[in-house]
Amino acid sequence: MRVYLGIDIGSVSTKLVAMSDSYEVLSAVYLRTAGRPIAALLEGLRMVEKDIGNAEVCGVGTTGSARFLASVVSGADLVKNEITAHAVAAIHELPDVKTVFEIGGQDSKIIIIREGVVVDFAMNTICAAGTGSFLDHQAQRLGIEIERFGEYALKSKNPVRIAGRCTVFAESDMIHKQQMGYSIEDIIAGLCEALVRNYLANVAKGKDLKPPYVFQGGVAANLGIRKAFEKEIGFPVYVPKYFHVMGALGMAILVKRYVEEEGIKTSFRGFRIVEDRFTSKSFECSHCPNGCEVVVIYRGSEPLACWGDRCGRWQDKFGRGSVVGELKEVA
Amino acid sequence: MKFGIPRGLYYEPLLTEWKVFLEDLGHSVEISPPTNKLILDEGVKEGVNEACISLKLSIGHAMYLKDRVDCIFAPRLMNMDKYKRITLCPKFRGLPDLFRVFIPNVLSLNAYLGSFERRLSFYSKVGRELRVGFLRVLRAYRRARLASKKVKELQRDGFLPDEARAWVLGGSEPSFTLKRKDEALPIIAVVGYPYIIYDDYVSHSLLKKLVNMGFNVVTPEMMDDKEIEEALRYLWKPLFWSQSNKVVGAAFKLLRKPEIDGMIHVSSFSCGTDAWVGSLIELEAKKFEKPLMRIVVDEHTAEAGLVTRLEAFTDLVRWRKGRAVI
Amino acid sequence: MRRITLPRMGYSYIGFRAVFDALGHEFVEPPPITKRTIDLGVKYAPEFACFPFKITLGSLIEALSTGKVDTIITAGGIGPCRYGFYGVMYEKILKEELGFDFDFILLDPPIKPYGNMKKVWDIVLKWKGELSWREFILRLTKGFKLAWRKLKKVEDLEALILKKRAWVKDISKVEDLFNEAIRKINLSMDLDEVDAIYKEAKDSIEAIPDDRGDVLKVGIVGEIYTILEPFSNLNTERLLNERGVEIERSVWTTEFIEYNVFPGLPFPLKQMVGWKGKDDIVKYSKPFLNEFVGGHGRESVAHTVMFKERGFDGVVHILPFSCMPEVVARGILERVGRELDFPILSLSFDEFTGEAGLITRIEAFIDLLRMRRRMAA
Repeated sequence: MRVYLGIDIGSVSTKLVAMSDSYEVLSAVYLRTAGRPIAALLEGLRMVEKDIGNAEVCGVGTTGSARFLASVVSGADLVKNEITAHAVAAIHELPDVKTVFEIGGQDSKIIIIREGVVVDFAMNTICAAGTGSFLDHQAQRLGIEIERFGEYALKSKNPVRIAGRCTVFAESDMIHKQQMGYSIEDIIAGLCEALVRNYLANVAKGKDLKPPYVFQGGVAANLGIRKAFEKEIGFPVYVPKYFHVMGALGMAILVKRYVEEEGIKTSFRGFRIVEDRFTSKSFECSHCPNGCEVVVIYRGSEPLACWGDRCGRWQDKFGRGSVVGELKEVA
Repeated sequence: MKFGIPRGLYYEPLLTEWKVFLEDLGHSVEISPPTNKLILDEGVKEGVNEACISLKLSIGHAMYLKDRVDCIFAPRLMNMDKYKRITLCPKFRGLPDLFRVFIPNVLSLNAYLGSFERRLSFYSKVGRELRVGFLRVLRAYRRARLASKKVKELQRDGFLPDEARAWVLGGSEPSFTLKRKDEALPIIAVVGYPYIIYDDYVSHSLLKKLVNMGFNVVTPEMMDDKEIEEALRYLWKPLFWSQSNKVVGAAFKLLRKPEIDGMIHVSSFSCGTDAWVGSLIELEAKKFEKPLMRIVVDEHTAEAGLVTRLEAFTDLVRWRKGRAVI
Repeated sequence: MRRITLPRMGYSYIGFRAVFDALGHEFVEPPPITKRTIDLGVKYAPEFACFPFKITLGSLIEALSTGKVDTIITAGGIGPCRYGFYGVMYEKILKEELGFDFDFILLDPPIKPYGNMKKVWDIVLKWKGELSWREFILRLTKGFKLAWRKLKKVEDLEALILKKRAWVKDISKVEDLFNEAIRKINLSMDLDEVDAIYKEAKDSIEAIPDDRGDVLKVGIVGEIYTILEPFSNLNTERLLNERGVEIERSVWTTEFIEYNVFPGLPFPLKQMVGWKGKDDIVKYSKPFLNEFVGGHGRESVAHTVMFKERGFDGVVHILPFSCMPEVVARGILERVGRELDFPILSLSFDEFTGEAGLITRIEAFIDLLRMRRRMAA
């Protein structure tokens, strides 16, 4: 069986999807990145391998903020930004979708689609107040598991109003409301509404919102947020089955199309790489006052790639192979 | 005497004009280097709370020059338009006084530069301040204007301001230009204030990235001043700030050109003028159904997020042109 | 007859009502600012627009939604502060984005390239309507006189309670008297009656016995809208009063008109209204800020220096988030505070400002001022 692999590594979570030729999801893996993207990727590959057995991997695509890292480590055929990946997956799930809300751990996006083509999009510009880590953090503060947030929110009859541009301010306002004795359900529902309000006011500002709506990303699991969205926009929102791995699914679809159209053979390094030792090292470049932190990725002692230099000095040289020796020394 | 001219809000072709002028009068001039991390950090540390990044940067650049020169040359830019009442944003007007909060030695005169008479009056005031005769001022002024005009022309041809200045002041021809090489590539217009879009550190080399990604790029500096001025008639009244009128006029004109495939408006966080500029461009882009993306930069802007947005936008532009995403 | 409204700013509507009543138009009082007003404004205004724009836009949307309004008037301007462009943006957003239908009158001064005499003349003709010229000028003069008197008296009362509230424990008594007087002045049509209402209210407020001591004196400087509209600054002045701080404001509606409209009047109107000039501001803002930077930026610096010379304990600088002139002033006030050894608290406001954080900062500032007093004694 031919299988396509989509990998989406964000700062909070790592998602992998293995998809068959007939667009059937064979494996969907979701795990915490926990600040160690390479380890998470290898762990994810191990889990996917278990699910798909010895099916033939014909293409690998990576996305997410660690897409370059993931592509170097896995030997990907296609690297794409997560907005396009999410849009492709949403269109695949619901071909006439017009608006996609995507709220992940560290960032949130809105994608406007007309007739199957992305016409506009936006990402959160200010800070984390419209994202999942805001909720995670508040759940910790309130001593409630994030999974039960939705359940609490649905119990509230009268959500409190929580103000704040930024997590720090929203948090102090929330503590203030807590001290004033509002019930925990009302505060949680208030938080959900604040997040949706912040999202609509910042990320979705000025966008042409039209149904049908698709809501995806890790936060879509939260019933409280879903309800707050429906209350605010007055339309039902559709949450796809694989809402938490849509970026990876989109990459799998994209890489399938790419491989088939270009007729290329995958450069996937194979599942055996989970046994290899991948390391990353960084050093401060002293070439100019910018003092860029240059990151080098090694497999064993062989440097695979480097980035982080604003001027492109190291990356250019790396492309020509002239600094490999120098970098070996750094290792 | 050794003068220092901070970058930041001051930008081409003024930097060239002032440098040549002062040097012709026998002084040495140091222009602060392109923004780097140290300058940014200094500016953010000392700069005013809630100010835009460009104001903070100006202060960072001035702080860099503080101990390297005898005096900071910081004219108070009041006007660059033929209408005397079209001025610049209040931050330009307050700039010399904001420098004085940290730096004692600042030479500042009110600069009205919108017409020949006003320019001449400004430069002769500078001349009087430096105790040189009118004829010498006149000679220096002519040389300075000549150089700045050349820089302006080079910028119109798509050369970046710093490289254009270096070339005019005796360097070699720069290799990089935004000028169209391949007519078939999609064209993206990048509009924004010169002190943001040409500052590679703040904009994360946005222009170069777009060219490398296979696009033709147009900026307001590459357009004819007449075209820009004409496009302003679509407004009920012009804005109060020269730099904003240039951006709005350029954007309005470009949105009306069928060959432009998309527009990126680069703005800085908490820039007051861009609240109006941004929404005027947005309304106009909706009217002409052109893809528009607004990128807001500040000292916290991460390159990764910017690249993601840029890639998604270029995908969108290609997608719209009927090409597959991949 | 037109049914007119305009954006709300403090008690300025009292003056506008007097003028439009005199001309025979119906003035629809803008609804008081509430959370809903701000939500509406924030939703439709550009993200980085100044806070006053967001509030006034919300206020206009509320007024238009009632269906009672067919005309909106706004003053234009020539910059460099963003305020001068509010009118253009109101029209774009209300008509193009929201599809409201109304007659929009933008009063731009006849200064190139922003306006010209013809535009001004068209507006004059609109106001004149069916009236004869003689009748029109008579009514207009009468209306302006009454408006001016009312505004002055209201402001005098406001200045009074900003001091008095600091000295009494039960401030509701003071406020009841004040609100009653404002209501009466708003409805009065006669100059002498306005004076009488003012006199009575002033006497009865002053008659309330002081029952607090150790009152601090603080000056307020900053951006006019955010200072005059209590909802926009979360009632900072009242918060200060309640904590035993007497306040003097440096910006007022009438003063704003004196500074910004009078100098542009043609001869002999300018001389008739008694234009005072701005020499004080120029003198006191030196050497810190040597040029007009738009809005009240220069005034903020000059008034801070004046408050210092008059022996105040400190200054509270109120500005909307990202206000261009006041951000410049804020940077320069840092130097003023340092060189004159004078405590200055800058408070910036927008839709995200929470009350909890504000109170903490105000109380810390008051403690600092008391500490300084004790040290000096």
